[in-house]
Amino acid sequence: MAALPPRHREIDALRQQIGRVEGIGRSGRSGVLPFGLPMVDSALPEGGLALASVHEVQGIYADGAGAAFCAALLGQLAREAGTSSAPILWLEAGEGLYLPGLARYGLQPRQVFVVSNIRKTADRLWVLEEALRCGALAGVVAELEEADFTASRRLQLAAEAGNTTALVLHEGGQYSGAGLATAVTRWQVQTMPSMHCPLNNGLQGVGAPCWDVALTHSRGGRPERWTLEWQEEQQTWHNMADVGAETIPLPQAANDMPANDDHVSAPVVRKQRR
Amino acid sequence: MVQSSPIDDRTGAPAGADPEPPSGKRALVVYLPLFATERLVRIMPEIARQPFASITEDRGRLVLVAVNPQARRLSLRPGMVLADARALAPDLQTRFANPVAEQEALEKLAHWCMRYTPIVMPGQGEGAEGQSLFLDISGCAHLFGGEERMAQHLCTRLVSFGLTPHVAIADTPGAAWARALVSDADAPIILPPFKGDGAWEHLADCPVASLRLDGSTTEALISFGLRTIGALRPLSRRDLADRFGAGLLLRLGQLLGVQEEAINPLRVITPFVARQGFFDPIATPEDIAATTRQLLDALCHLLEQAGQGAVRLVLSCHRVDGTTQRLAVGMARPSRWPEPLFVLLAEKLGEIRPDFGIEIMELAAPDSAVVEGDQTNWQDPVGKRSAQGEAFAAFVNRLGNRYGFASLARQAPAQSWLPERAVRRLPPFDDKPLGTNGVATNGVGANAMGKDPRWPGGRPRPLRLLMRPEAVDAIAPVPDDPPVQFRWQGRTYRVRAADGPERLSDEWWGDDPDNGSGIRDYYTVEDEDGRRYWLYRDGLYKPGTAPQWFLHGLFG
Repeated sequence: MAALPPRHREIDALRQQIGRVEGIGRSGRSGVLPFGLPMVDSALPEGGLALASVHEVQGIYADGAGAAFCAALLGQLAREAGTSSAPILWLEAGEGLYLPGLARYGLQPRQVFVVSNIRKTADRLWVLEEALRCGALAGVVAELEEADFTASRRLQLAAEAGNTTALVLHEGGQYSGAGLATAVTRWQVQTMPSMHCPLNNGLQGVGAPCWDVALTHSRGGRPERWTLEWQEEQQTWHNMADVGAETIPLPQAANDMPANDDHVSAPVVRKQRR
Repeated sequence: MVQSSPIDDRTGAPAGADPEPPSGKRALVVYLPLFATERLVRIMPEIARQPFASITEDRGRLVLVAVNPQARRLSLRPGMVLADARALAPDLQTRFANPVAEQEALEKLAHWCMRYTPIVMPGQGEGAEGQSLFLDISGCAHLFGGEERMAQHLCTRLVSFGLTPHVAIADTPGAAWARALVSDADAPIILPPFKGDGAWEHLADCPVASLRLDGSTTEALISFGLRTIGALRPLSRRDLADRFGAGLLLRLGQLLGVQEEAINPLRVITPFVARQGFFDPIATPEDIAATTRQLLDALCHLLEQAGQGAVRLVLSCHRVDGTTQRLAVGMARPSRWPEPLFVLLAEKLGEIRPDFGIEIMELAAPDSAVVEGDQTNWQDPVGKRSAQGEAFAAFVNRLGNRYGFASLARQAPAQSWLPERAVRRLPPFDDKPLGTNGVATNGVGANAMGKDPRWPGGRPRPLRLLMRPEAVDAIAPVPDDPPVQFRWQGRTYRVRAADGPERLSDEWWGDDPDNGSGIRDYYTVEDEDGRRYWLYRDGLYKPGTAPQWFLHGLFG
């Protein structure tokens, strides 16, 4: 990781000025959602994911990695909102989201609203914009294939007006590359093999979910790439590069259900791919 | 104008001769003998001057259903075979009858008639060729300057629509219908309130066909020489019932007002209605929007006084040309706040086509429900939480009215082990605590009254569940071991790590044939790229038979 260049006040002032011009200058007022990982947070302006703005998450393959990453962020957004029942909205292109699967990201039945089977992109854009504007949601995930500049600008303005954070999710398929023009950050996510946890029958168990997360665009920050793991027990992120430095607290192992995952037994330092 | 007031009763005929009809009720009947053909003339004016008949197929023949006056003059009659009719009138124009469209047209007309009274019933009096409209005008006539002027007004308007109305007003729908059937077109008959034997006197000369009986009873009556209603008067009721059936007595009773007959309103009457008429018809979008807003304020005031909230709103615009345009919006939960409701209506107001102008606008809340917990906090009158809740409710309503309320839902645990049945839809606003039934007991903290339901913890569940599990070719070594590799959608995945099995089975009473054996062993497997899949083996391991494997979900 490169050392941070010394921050001059003038540069900071200029950045804030640009931010105001671009319409994201209010992130300072709205606050940020820190990942809780110094390496990740230092790459983001203000030290976290800017609230009340639009972020784009691109899953490289249609394998659910992007959705899972969004779910983890949503869970944190809902916690950030303070109340346990802060409503969140998931705007699906088709249907098939299985809400019990959101439980491991700390989301519970009452708070998740799912809008499904709205096929046209224009209609989903309308729903997303209205959802952001109504200001009652802790976060919105929207599956969108495309949005032109005007539409993405409108989304950003709606997010600011309603003080709501939006995650625009795009998984697999024909990925245009450009994405949302005005997204404050853009993430590319793909799965990584999890940490092994040997079971007593000599087979390998499935470890905590693990993703290769690339921050390909960050306004006022810098692009970076990490391997992040989601710790279900603590509901926190874990940077795999830190594994050697600190010890991961072991979850209570005694469990009669062999189906449980997240048995991290032997922390090993793993290299990032590429 | 009030009919059969107590004063009239006292000064009227001595009591005891015949039971008095229910006081104050007045019914207006419009009988439209030529409605079937006149409807078609309205659509196709070019057939107005020629002999015309609507036809239908009956036992392999084409027969006439309705004929217009020109055809009638050539002695064509309904029920005639088309071939015979053609012999009498070679230039006869025909169209196939469309009973559904006819009924719809009649209902439209009934809606139009709601300008006179809210209680209008479209119907066909039994044994008559034409169509009828029954109006309960009790207490409405004075608004139009009396019954006579009301009837005349109605007649004039109907004639201007190209219809031939026969109108009568009487104390009972039966009597009004009987008089309307034999009255002249465009000359309303108004029977004074019945007093004593008044009903018999007014109706004595009506044919028995005007009793709304089925054809065979009418024929039987005529064959006995009983041609008019008056002829039935001296006969004993018991004899009539024995010979002609109880139906005759019922109709006679309804005619005389002994037997109560209700006019079933086409539209359910709601107390929550706001209405605005205009001297000068309005047509601009601004006027329509402004009036809607006024009506909404008035309606919300009514709702608030009753402690109710609207679940559905219907805006009716009566146009000058006699048609009514309607739009409806629904709410996910009862509401009586004008602002968000106006936003809902405003989005649809563009659908109203005023054309020549709108005479009357009416906003009604046909469905309403009690609003609970709507109290604002005196310390925090705006109520940040409730304001946000209202904003969200407004969003849900707009979404629901655009794309249907089914597009938005929450999910809650359901009492089943099968993953596809372990969730049930929860409506967006169901603030009642989830009770003991319907809440899963197979999870952690699921069954506490009043507590939020929680997903059963500790078990891996995928983020995306395939609607139908997809069959995969899997290689699994030992009976209970997870697969080492599987093939799905033409690609082979090598399994790097796996958890399981978790055995989930159908309920013992379940006998869904699509469900295989009902026992599934689920494994969470991870391939070499770290993708996680939820696979299951259908059924128990049996030596000799290859087990069936399915992919059911993706973890991501």
